[in-house]
Amino acid sequence: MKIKMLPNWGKKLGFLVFVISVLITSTFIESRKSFFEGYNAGLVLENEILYLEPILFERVLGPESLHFFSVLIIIGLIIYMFSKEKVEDDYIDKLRLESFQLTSLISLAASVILYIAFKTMKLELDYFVLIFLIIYLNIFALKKRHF
Amino acid sequence: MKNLIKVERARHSLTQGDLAEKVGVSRQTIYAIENNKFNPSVTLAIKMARFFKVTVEYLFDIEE
Repeated sequence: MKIKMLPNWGKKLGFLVFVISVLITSTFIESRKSFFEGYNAGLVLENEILYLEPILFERVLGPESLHFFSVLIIIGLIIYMFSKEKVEDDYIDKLRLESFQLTSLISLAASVILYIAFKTMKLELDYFVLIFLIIYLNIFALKKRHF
Repeated sequence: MKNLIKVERARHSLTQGDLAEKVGVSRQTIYAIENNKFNPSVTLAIKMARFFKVTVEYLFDIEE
């Protein structure tokens, strides 16, 4: 199956969207609390314990906009992932396919192991999507740079 | 599949990058072909044979 890819400039665009969104989300109260207390603790920590004022985007757009910027992080990575290399050929296609296969296997294995080990564990969907994208991009980059 | 890409490349004093540019592929592809990690498509095999002015059979051969 041949997937239509975005042009090479999509890599720069995707990276820019990703970095800007990460920087913006890091200014939100929820992210700052997570930074101090650890991700899961930050989600349930009451404001009274660690009182933080909303700043920048959160002050203007409200705390609900965090979801929008979290989606932008994923979109940025997807744009990066579906952008062409400077030189596209059969070998790059092969590396891409191998990276997808390996990422799928790792994700499947991790999901099964987590389910076996922690039956009641609940994960948000963005954990899975982000980890899948990051693992794929790293495997693909490593395979390309190996030679 | 064994090939004589490395030999022909040396004969023409070309780097992997130079050859890649001439036949329109990435440098990684030339490396992978030379080290038998990737079999090129028929189109690429013909392009390389034409570039070195040799036959495809000379450039590529099946290992017995």
